[in-house]
Amino acid sequence: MTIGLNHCLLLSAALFAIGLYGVLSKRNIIAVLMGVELMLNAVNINFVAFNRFTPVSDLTGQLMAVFAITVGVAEVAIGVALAYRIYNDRQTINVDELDNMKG
Amino acid sequence: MNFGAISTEIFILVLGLFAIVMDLILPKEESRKSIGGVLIFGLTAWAAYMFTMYVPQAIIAGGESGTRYFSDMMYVVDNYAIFFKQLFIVATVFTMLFSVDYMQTVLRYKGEFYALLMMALLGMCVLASANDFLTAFIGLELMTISFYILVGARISSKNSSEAAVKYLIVGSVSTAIMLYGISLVYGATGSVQFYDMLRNPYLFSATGLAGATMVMIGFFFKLSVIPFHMWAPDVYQGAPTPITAMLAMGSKAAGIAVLMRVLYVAFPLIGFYWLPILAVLSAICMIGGNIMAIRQRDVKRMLAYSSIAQAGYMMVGIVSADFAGMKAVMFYGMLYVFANVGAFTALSLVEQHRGGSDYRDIAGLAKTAPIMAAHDFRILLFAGSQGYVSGRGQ
Repeated sequence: MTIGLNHCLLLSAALFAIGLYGVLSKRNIIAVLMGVELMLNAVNINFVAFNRFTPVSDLTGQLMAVFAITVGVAEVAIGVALAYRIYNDRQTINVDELDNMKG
Repeated sequence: MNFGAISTEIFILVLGLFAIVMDLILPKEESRKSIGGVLIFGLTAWAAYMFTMYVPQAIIAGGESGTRYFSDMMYVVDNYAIFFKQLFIVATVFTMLFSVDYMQTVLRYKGEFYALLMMALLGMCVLASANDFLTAFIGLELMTISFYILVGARISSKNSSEAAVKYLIVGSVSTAIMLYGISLVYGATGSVQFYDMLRNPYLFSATGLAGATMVMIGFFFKLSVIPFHMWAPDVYQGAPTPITAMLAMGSKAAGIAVLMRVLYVAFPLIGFYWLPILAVLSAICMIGGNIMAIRQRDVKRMLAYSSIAQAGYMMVGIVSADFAGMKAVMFYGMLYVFANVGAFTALSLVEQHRGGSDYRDIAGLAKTAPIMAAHDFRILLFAGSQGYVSGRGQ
């Protein structure tokens, strides 16, 4: 059996769903950020797979993947810095306790 | 490579780098107001100069498009983009003008504030002239990542970091959804360029339609259209007031600019099916946003719900899908910037002097500062009537 486009797409859809589940169910900010990272990486698999298996002439998909990796890293770096600030403010990084503002 | 086409972006980038370098060079005890002054001067001059960039009506009527491209159609500079860029620059200049004192008292890192504001402005300008999903994605991220930091810039306030984390998590999930959509559209059509998509029949496959839907959902998150609006009130309340103003004016107008281009240029045929959905969503936004604004106790929160309603007003113009509708949206965006500048200027002054933006802090404003109270009241009235005015304009 050879690995084709469908296998890659299934893998990336599963990763995306797992990441979304992580974002919605986890209570720790770091774990939520890990979920976000999984979702972004699912996208990268999609881009590279489409570029490899569909008849396109250029490398746009790989280019998009490179940019998506860069942006994902920047986002998660800021997320970790903010988690550190939340910890300094409240001695916890549980998202359920971020409830100062309501309405 | 036509570098003249991206002169605005180069200029803004240079100003941002200038702010970073000057922040390092200036001695610690020196005030950072001077950097803001230079940036305000430069941006105002450039916004005035941009009037010469418009392609005159006579040339367009003569059959030439007059549109300039950069880097193989990835980046388009037409009158539409120039108008929105001017709007963003004006919004940033106003924000900096009324935030000079506020920033000196509230923020710990003042130089970085200006640099990040320039980067956010650069992202908005890239968004306004993106002609490619890659460029649009980079512009969107440049803008939102700068805003994540700016929203959390008030180190002394617990609300600020809470708002920043909420914005970051919702924003990055919506980015991931939108990117997944872009990847599906790319898989269906083999291209990420708007003009290629327009002619591509494969966009109507299951993959392409699913991708287009996810892209639209990503935009709805960024515009805080009602089913996807949960982040907006918290973020608006927690952010420093000038940043709330920038979020309400610049971020929303940039989202509208790129949404119109995507709908009309990349997905015009799918967009036809989207218009009824957009119409329903805009009605929900207009009604729901205004009703929920009534029961808020914090004025910034109230303005957040009001801005959700304003997004609904702007979407009415998009739904009409003709030149008059687009013109109305652009005119409305301009009015919206000027109305919001007034509201947020008054609010940041109140917050600076009384320490909060709750109703209790505003109470008695008519006695201590009658002129400002009258001005505030007039602005709020204007925010209500503006939808009617630009509706008539259309």
